[in-house]
Amino acid sequence: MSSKLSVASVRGSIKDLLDKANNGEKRRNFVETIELQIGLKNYDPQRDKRFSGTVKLPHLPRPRLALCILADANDVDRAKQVDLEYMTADDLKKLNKNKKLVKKLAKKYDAFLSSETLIKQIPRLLGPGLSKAGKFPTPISPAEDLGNKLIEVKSTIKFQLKKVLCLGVAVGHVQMTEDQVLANVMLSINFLVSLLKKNWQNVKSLHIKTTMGKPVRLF
Amino acid sequence: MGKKKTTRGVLLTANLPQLQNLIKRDPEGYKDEFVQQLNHYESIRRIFEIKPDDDDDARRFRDLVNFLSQVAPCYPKETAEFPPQLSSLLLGSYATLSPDTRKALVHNLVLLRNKDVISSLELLQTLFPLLPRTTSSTLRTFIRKTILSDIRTANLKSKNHKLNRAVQAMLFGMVERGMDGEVQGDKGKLRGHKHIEGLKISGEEAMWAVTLTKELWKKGIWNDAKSVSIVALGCFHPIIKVQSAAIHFFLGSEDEEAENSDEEERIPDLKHLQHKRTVTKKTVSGERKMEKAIKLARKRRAEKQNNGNSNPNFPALQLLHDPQTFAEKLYEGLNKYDQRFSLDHKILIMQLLSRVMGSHKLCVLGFYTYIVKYLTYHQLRITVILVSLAQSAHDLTPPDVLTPVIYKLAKEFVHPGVSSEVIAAGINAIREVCRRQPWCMEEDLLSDLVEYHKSKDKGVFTASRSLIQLYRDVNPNMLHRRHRGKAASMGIQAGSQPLPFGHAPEAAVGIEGLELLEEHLEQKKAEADNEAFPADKEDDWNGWEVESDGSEESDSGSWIDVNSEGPSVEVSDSEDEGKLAHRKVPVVDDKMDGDSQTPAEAEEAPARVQTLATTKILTPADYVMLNELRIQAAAKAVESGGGSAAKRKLATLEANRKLDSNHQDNTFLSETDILGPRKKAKADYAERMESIQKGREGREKFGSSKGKKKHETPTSSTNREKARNKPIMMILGSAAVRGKKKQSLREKQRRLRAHIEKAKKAK
Repeated sequence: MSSKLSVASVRGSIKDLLDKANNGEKRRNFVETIELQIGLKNYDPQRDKRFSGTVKLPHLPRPRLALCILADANDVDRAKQVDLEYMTADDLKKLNKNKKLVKKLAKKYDAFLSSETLIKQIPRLLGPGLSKAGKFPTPISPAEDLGNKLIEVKSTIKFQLKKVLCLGVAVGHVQMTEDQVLANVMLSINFLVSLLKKNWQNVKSLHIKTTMGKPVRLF
Repeated sequence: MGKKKTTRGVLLTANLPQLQNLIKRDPEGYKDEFVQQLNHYESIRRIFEIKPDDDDDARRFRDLVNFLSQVAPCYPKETAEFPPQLSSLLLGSYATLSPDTRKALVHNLVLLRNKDVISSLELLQTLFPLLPRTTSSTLRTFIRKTILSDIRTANLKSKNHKLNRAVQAMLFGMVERGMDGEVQGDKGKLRGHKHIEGLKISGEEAMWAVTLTKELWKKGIWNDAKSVSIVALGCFHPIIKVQSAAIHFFLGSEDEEAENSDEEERIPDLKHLQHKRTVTKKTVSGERKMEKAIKLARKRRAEKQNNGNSNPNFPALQLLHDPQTFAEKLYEGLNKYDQRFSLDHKILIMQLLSRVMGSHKLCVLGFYTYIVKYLTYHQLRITVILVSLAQSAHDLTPPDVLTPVIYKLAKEFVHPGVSSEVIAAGINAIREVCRRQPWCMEEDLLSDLVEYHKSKDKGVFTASRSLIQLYRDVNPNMLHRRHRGKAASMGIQAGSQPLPFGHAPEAAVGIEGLELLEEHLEQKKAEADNEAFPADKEDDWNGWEVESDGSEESDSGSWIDVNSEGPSVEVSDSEDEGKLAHRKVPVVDDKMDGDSQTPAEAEEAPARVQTLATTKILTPADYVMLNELRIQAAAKAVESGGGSAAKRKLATLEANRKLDSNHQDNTFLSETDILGPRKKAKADYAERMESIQKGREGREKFGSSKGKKKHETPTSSTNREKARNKPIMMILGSAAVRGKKKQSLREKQRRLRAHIEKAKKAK
């Protein structure tokens, strides 16, 4: 089993996957996301350190990612220019640290940005809700270009082990070319394995699947 | 016939054990006698309920109860009412029963449970309320053991969720019942204060609930969120004893010793068993037992190694339901009853609060203003307070609440008016806070603290240097230029930025050291190019390709990778050879799609190599190589004068290679981190003498071994010894000596010659 992970076979499975999603009978009315699912072994999440890591993929995996900027007055203008949803400090104060509202906010968006001036107040304004959801905002300085930052945030994926021994990340969508998906998948696999303490010996299984499709086992 | 039967009846009524025996053999045949006894029991029970203090009746009653519970399984229908009667009697009139009767009733209930007449839930429902009310310690331990073993056997094969849920609900209720009482302090006058009676009972009840949960948790029988929530509720119980027991559970501090001694016992003595095996008869089951013992011993030893140092109850802290509210309530209690709690208890709460805050990244901002008043160097147990302050900080704590605390620390601890230990503790505490939240430091304060790196005291200068070291890593811009060090200055010039607020330093970005692997592979490839082109041994590589794929013969792109893979195989075969043999395959077919031929290859190479991670799946061999290369690079950096940072990096890499899982992540601190290294004071006379005495213990006195042997057995002295010890004046006056002095020259010569002759012969 463990000997079968080759680039050719990964390429084959990706080809199949894309083929089924784009040309199969059940073509969906939305762009399906391709997800990489990982099962781990020989790892005790209660004792061993839970790893986390972020890596920037070469190709944008989820272009329609819902983002929100927690902005100061200056950044509100910039956000308006690029059609980015924003919330000001006053909006946040209205949430009043209410757990349900913060949770709702965290659920509504996939990732957050925040102005540098505001970011230090975030834990105070919102409590632990955002960081618990793994969506603590990325800071953006006034000098940075908002558009580029957006792309960077969108193409960055995060591996974070929680209490269970499996994790999944979005690595692409079905309208990407085979090569693009392949590059993303390989980079994520390589990165994940480099995070693990015993590298490949900690990996139990690797699957890729589209949102509505069947999972395909890679490893 | 009839007469015989009556005699039988008479005999049997008097002799219950015999009847019991007969009934067990033939339940149907002796049903009449049984019914008779049952009626007798009923009547006595009625009397007993009215006046339970009659001694004679009590004995008779106990005998009957014993008898009935023994035979109850034979007549399930008739005795359906029996167990509930027992438990209601126990629960209802516990105080009035005589101690013997209580004991008998409890034992009988357990007996009924063992015979499976009642379910364990029914048994536990009776036993739990008894625990706090029992005054006899033997009965108490018996009940406790019964409860524990009952729950343990119920969960032996698989978790008995139904029972667990019911029992946990019961325990939760026991804790909850006393929750509305007024908090009793344990300070000053309140220490020996008699509690109000109702509160006392509920307190004991809650205490038992907490203790039992702790015990079940420790044994690994319960490890779910519900049991944690029982203890978590106990943390807010109005009785201090309950609170502290519950807090100790989360801190995981108190029961180490007990556990250790337990563990010692449970490790089987292998030597002894092996010896036994050689002596006794060899059986298959004996063999199996031996194997089991060996396995167990190995497991225990591994466990022991793993938690050699005290580890706080991580999973329990993780399983807390709604940690934010929990922490806020802890803080509220701490703040509200500041006057009532003793310092020890307050410190316990602080420790727990800080750990919850640290591990769940919570913000309870009031805590920092609260703790400020304790931050003076003459405060009792200040080190523990400093530890909890440092633990509570994390990367999401707002820096602006920590800054005043740090200033206060600096003002109180770090000035020339206090001893050097105090300064060291202060700087260390500041460093630990800053390690978790580097943004709380301000430049001028940092420069002040850094000045202590030239102090003469070891503790102080190591503390100060470690602070410098920390800021070199996290934010060298804050340091003065001369403190930045080489690596950090170069980093600043290269434009590296400190981690922004709210981002943990652990989160890895990209594969570390991948560029090294790329370079290495490139280099190998270049070498391979040089060698392989002139030679061009097609047949050699064909062999490789057949092994790998066999489909594309003439693809020149593939063999380069094979070749470059060669050395990494060598490196890693010590690790896992078997796996590696398989591993060669995926690497080979990597470049099948490399469409360009040899001329284009040279230009193509760099671009391809940079995207190594996206085009190639790294094999275990590659990872080994990668680690190897990183260590090499680090070692090179150390050699070329990279300073202590480089050395530290090398050390961590080396440790990683050995897979030292013992190194823990530094969420939790110990007091030694705050105290820092301390110079050992010179021993005084008493201490020196003590150490001398200790050295003498168990060793023989120095001296010649011959003398010692002689003195062991008393003997008379030999003539030789006597001669040796004879007073000199007597010798001088003796004829033998005086004769020698007076002899003539000739005589002297004759004697000398004789002596020489004799010596020669003796040779």
